[in-house]
Amino acid sequence: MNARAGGDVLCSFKTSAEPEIELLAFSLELRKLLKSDVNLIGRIPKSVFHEVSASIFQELIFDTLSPLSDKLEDRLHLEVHSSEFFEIAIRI
Amino acid sequence: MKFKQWLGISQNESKVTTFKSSATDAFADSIALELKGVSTEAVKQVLEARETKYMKAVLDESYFVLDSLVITPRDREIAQKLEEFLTTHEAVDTHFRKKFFEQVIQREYRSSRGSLVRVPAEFEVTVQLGQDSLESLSAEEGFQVNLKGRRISFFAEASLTGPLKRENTQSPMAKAMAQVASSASMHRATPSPSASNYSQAPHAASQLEVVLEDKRGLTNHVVDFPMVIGREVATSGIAQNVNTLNVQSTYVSRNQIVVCELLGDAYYFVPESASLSCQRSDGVVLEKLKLYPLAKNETVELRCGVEFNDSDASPLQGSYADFALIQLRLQGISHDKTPRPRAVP
Repeated sequence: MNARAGGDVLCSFKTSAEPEIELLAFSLELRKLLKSDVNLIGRIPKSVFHEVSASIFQELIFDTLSPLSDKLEDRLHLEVHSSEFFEIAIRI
Repeated sequence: MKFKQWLGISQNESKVTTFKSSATDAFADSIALELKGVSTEAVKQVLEARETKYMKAVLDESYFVLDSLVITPRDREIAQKLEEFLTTHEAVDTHFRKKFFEQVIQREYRSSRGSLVRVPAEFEVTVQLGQDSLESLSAEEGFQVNLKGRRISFFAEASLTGPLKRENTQSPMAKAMAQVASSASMHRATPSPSASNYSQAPHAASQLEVVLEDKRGLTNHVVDFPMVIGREVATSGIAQNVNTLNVQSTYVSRNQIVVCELLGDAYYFVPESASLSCQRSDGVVLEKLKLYPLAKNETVELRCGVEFNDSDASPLQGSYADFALIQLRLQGISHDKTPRPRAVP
């Protein structure tokens, strides 16, 4: 676990799959962590974000995670960053 | 060779030049929409947090005022773009910033519970750069997105003052008077099936003669029902269809005496809001909300400035400038009596 501005990084990963598959993997990781009570920051690589269409993004992130919490917008903040790695951190 | 070159038309022949401003328009449209969204959300959030402290009856009769709205760009890129956009246009029009944000802000905001936020006419939005706008995200060139993948460009924070009373809200006194007035007008307008002349008779005859003796001296008034007599009563928010009569005297309540007509009979009473009572010429001090009948052609003299529950009050001797005298006289009411059955010969 790495200390970092905005909270401790819980996981960081990078696959060599298609952007959609990478985003799906990211969504599944978020799903696991959101079942606990922590608030999270999810960081998506800029290259992946620009590769994936809005409808696919909505389907893989919003539609998959919305059933987990009524106030998902408050519990999960998503950021796009210039790194090539997906990251999930605890939001303080 | 291109088709135009083959025809012998030079590519530089066209003299019409189109300025490419569509990107700026698109940016203005997108941020206007986004700003509208975040500002509405911010006002709604603070309103919903605040309205829980008040009963719905209070919210229905009052409104909040938008005190401040601070908009902060989420990241450095947006902050730069917005500042550039505003500065460029301000070079052309010094009031551009105000005009632009006028499109963003609504005149009113409402919550699902019925509470209302009004925006003052001269309200100005504050654009404030925060730490996020300059530092933290700039190192990584990052930005925030929502769960559907839309970039979140701004953050807005609102504050409210109030609640203040709505102007068109009637006081309980005004409501009561309006009901009396409307019932009286209905009574006049609806003809009775049994007596066709009944509707006109009381209206034509039921006029009240009021003689006032106050700072102005002796004045005589002939007025219609319902009637409120008191100090500065015309400006105290009484319903519009109620007649008012001002008394200029030191010891008189704003709503001192109400005179109304019910089913052809006239009554006078001291309303709940009055802080002082009146004394009749027979020594009786009027009680709050007690109806006193006003008989036809009878003159009632009321001296203002008497405390309630002062049963042993001696007749007031002060000047009329301090203790005004109100004389009420009902000008002959004539109405049809209920027909009595008679023996058929």
